[in-house]
Amino acid sequence: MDIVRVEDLTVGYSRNIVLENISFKICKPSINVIMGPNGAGKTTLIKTLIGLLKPYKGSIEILGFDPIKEAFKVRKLIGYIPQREKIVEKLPLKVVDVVMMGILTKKDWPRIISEKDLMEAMRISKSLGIMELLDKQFHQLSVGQKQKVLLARALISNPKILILDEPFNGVDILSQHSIIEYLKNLREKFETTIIIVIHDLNPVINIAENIMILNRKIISFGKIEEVLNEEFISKAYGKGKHYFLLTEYTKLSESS
Amino acid sequence: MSLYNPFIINAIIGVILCGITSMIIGTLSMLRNVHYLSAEVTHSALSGAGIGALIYAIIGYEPIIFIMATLFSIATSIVTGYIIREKGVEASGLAIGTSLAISMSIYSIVAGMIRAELLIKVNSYLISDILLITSSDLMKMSIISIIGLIVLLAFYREIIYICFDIEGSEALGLNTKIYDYLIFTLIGASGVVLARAVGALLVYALTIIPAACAIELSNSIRNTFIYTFTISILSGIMGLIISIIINLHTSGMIALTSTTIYIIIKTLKKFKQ
Repeated sequence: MDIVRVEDLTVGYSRNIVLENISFKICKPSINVIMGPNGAGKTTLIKTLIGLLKPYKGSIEILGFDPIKEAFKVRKLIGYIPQREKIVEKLPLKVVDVVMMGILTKKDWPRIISEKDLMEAMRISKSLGIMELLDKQFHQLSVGQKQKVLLARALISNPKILILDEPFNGVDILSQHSIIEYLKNLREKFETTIIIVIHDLNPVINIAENIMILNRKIISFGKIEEVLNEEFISKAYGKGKHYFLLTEYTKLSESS
Repeated sequence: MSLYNPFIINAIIGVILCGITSMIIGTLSMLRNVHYLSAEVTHSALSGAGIGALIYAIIGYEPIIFIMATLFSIATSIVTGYIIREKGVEASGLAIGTSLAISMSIYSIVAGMIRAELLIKVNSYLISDILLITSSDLMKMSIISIIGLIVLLAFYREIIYICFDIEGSEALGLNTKIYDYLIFTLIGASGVVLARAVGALLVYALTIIPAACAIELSNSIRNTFIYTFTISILSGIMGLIISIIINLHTSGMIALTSTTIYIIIKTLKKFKQ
């Protein structure tokens, strides 16, 4: 069974088509990066994979389940970190409450916290190095710490697929590095499939197994060496803009 | 005036009910980022009361005025919620403005169609005096306040999750549609209680101002609710006492007291910094 299977997908907002005729497959646990210019439809694609958006046309299967018809089953299999701007950070919520959201939203009402849930929260927080933050206010943390807390929230229910939407925006380099190491470990030890939407490929170039270049349709999807070339980058970002990106990526790939 | 005066006792019960509804509507409007909605739903209650008065003139059943006010208030809140869900919170200003215009148009038309004694009843949703609340009003207000409080306590977690991260909550498996509309229903239902108690014109002072004070003081969402309730009751009791002593309009004095508390808290915080 494929982990993600998308066939002939067309999706948009209020009759404005954002993505058209998208088809791709993720067959085995891997780290997949989706990149493309602003407005390319990256966030739209992952929202559709999770079932937050209903496609106009086409089909999606997540580990054999339809994200619209079998939304609850799919959401049990997926961990998701939205763009930080979507979160109302000023709310006076404790870190432990944010982490527990990952378990409690998947439970039935009245969503009582069990001893096991608390142990899980401790385990995941310890593994991400945020144990000492559990009692602090979420809005008082640094951007990097916030991302780790959101990662803990997404991973506390042990998802098979982890989806991150621009997780490194505003994150300091040390936190970036520790998150990347954690993701790498997650992929290797637990065979979690990871999908990362990103603007800047630099932080993840060493761990990305597949790259999708997207601009309202799939320009290219495959191994890094197959995808990062002048033709595909020019198609996505426009002619003349490929040179800088390509030089940067080639340098990075060679050094890695 | 004696404390055992039935007007005073009713007013004190009214203040407590206002504390509960103010906690619900004020805190939820602040957390859901729809600050102006509280003022808007109470104006809808006014137009609903107008329609209710027209029906009352035909069927002779007085509670229909309160029922229509409640239905209008809840309906407006839900429609605003729908627009926010579809178009984003940025669209809330336009949605609230449009609803306000519709509500006031309905009120203006209805005001010209009903008898003077009925107009007084309807206008009590615009400018009310908490000292004039009747036992029958208190009964209706209690039903809404207690149901609102039970719903808030029962779905507290879900409501907070939506206010914090609606998209993430949905992706995690929460049925955000149901709980989000529940938030807007609570705001609408609470609005009508406050409109009846202090009137739509003063409602802002008993919804957003106590919640704004609470946010300045608290370090957790639970405390924000508790402080909003406390500040609302404190404003109510102080305003009531001052208005009796110096013989001024009670609801106006309550609103002025809550605004003064907010200014004091802001000033003290600024000095502290």
